Amino acid sequence: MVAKSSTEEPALVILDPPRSVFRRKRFLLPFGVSAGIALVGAVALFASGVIALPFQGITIVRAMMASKVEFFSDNEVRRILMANGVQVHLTDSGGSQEIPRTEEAAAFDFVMPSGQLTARQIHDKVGGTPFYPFTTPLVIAAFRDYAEALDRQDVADPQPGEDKLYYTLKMPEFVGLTLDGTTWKDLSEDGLTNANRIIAQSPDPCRAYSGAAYLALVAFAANGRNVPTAADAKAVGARIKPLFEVEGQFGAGIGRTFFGPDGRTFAPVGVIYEHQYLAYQIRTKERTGSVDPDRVLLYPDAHHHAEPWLIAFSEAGEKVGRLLQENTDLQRRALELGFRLGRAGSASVGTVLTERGIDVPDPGAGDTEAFLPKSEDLTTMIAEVGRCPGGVPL
Amino acid sequence: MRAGLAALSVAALVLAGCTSGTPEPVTLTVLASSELADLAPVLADLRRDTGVELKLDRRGTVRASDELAAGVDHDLAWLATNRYLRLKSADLPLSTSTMLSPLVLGVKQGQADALRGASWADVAGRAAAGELRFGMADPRVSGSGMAALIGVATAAAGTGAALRAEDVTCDKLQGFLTGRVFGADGAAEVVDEYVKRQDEVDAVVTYESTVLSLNASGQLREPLEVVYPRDGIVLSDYPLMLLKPDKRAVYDRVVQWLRTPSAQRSIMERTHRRPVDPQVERTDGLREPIGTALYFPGTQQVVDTLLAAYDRAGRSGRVVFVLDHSTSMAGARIAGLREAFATLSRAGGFDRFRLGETVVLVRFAGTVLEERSVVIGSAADLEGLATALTTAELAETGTAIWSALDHAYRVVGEGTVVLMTDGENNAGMSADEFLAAWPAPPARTYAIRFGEADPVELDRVARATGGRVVDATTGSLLEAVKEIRGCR
Repeated sequence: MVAKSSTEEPALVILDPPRSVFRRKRFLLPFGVSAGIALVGAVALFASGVIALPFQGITIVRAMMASKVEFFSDNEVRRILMANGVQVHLTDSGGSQEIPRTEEAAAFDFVMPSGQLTARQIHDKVGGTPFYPFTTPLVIAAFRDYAEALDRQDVADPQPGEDKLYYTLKMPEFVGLTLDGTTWKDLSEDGLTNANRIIAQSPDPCRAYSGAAYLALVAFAANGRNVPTAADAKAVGARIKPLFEVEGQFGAGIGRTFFGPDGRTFAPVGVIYEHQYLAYQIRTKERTGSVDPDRVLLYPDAHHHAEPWLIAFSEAGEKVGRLLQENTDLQRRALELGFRLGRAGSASVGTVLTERGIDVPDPGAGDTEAFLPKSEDLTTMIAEVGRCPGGVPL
Repeated sequence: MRAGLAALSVAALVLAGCTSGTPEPVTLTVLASSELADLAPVLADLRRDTGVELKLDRRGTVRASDELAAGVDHDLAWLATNRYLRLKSADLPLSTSTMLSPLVLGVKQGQADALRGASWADVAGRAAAGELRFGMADPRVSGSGMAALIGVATAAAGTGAALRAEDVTCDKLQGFLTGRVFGADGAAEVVDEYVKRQDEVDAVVTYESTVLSLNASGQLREPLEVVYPRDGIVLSDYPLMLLKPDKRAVYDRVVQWLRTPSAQRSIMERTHRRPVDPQVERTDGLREPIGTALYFPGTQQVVDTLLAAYDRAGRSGRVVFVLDHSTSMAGARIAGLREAFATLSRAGGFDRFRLGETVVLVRFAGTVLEERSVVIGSAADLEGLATALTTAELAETGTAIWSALDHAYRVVGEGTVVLMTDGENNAGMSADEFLAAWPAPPARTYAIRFGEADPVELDRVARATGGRVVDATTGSLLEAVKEIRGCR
């Protein structure tokens, strides 16, 4: 094949030089708009103090805790801490009872077990400086139809309030229903189809503070409203063991999952902390204008106020402890997250709820530890109820 | 203009200083459940955004949990659930739930009407009769297969509590397993197999996410409807677990990314798993409430017992019913007996007579009146069995319990014997003669007594075989039969 030859001369066209890419309209307009937004953002960040932070020096604080991870994960809490030069790196222990088992607990700047029994144990074992920023009652969260079924059996009484969000639960009667083998379906001819036996689903007493503290409340109820002692702890443990066997393998805490769309599947009735519920209702009201009427709280008539201690093992940890105990912004945020201030202040979660038009619960009067056995007696009962493959905590 | 640009560049630089920049690229090995192959596009985004590449080494959840308990060299594990691991191991690694999917039945629309709102008992009953044929992953390997066994067995035990080893002494799984046409190693593989054999079967037992993905894949000639067994949901929450503590920082980066609303949305849209973040608006198919969860067994022993029952599946099974037809049975007793057979043939749930099973009826009075053997091969055979006793006459010739049982032992083969009587032995062999004739009884024998039947003698013989006596004097005969169905 022979190439076709061209007889035409190549033409040379002179073009105008292109406009700089930066000056083209197609570039300038979108770039100008986005740069403007960025500038406004930068100014705003400057004003809030965030952008200056890289120049202030941030202390990275390493901490280990269980359910209180929720507090330190809150954006507003992070922002306030950051404004005070602190950033907390969290390790979730997967249950407070795991903290004392961790060899290097004292290698963290601070730990924050969910309740005082475990806290005291850690403090006795490895020392550290304790801070007491807030408390929160151990409660039972339930879907309304379940609470109403208990109410009809006179096992729960509604507390006064417009939205009927809170009930007082008669623990001895409630524990009795479980020990009798009653199912939710048996309770109400007209509604509940759940053929599972009646329990409040609880996290593992071997791993979670709430699980251990709930076991203590059940033991108190099953022991004729007497705190089990060294003399009868083993016997009481044996008596309540069937109740804890109903659930088989314990689930993880439902502090988060209960409030999701599949909450009923995770647990229609289960042990949580009050702050988890109040924080949810405060958030829901802010977002939608009304509280969620479908989820309610049952306050055990013999109750326990859990007091998460912040135990600091370093100067940085102590700084966080002091901030939590003294910084008014953090205290206000703690209240908005549903905590009670306990020893740290007089401002009340009731005020926060009232301001928002949410019913205020009555957790019942009493000392924070009125119904808890001595730590060694609780240990005896947990061992009796059993199945702590990692050893009995406390 | 130039000054403006310069100011903007400074602002941009300052802003860039706020983020940590592009992090070091890093690769982690992950022991993962087999169905997580569908995460590939999500993992590509993860790598783009965080620099972390996850290399999934996939197998069934049960197998992976066994390996984890024994010790593996992976950096992370990402399984449908950590419950199987918790049964085996004291130490649970740091775990974060990432997404949700319940175990369901994907049922062809033609079959779904009959199963909407079904319980596990309804599913088992239809499977036993050949009305529901399905694929299900191997529970020795796969979490979805094991979850199905636990669901059926827990519902069948009916205690309202977590299954204990003593609740599974009698095997109530066989009716359900009759419907299992094919298996596979994992939830992903069973779906592939379903696509190949979709004209052969009615359903597949797997996760909601895989059923919805299958429907969206365009590979099905008839779409599947999701059926949630209302009385016993097993929900998987896909925890990402940290196996090597020194990879903690990277693990945190991955978890943080996975829990962002955009990643949660992307997982939902691409894999049809439910977001763990309640704030993420769900797509239509994922809003359905999934029902009551069952309590999960607390011991490995229960799981092992279920696997033993699974290994027995498909064995034919043979049961000889030795039925008293003396005149004392007239009235409510014979009516109760006929009703029990009608129910077990037509709607017995977990206890329904099943395809492949051989049912031998030995009617007796003073002698054996009739022996009739039915090998159940079709729905017609079940119907025949339902009415087998309706016209059977009673005879006024006495009650020869031990002679009838002697006859049963001659035809029982590998099966079990269920004797029902309301009278005292007054014809044929005596109990002593019977026991002397059968020093080593060939079959486990259960006796259901009502009326005047001698509990002591029945108990003596039943116990000699490893069986026992169930009393129907106060309760219904049907309940008594159900109590020992599946006991071998």
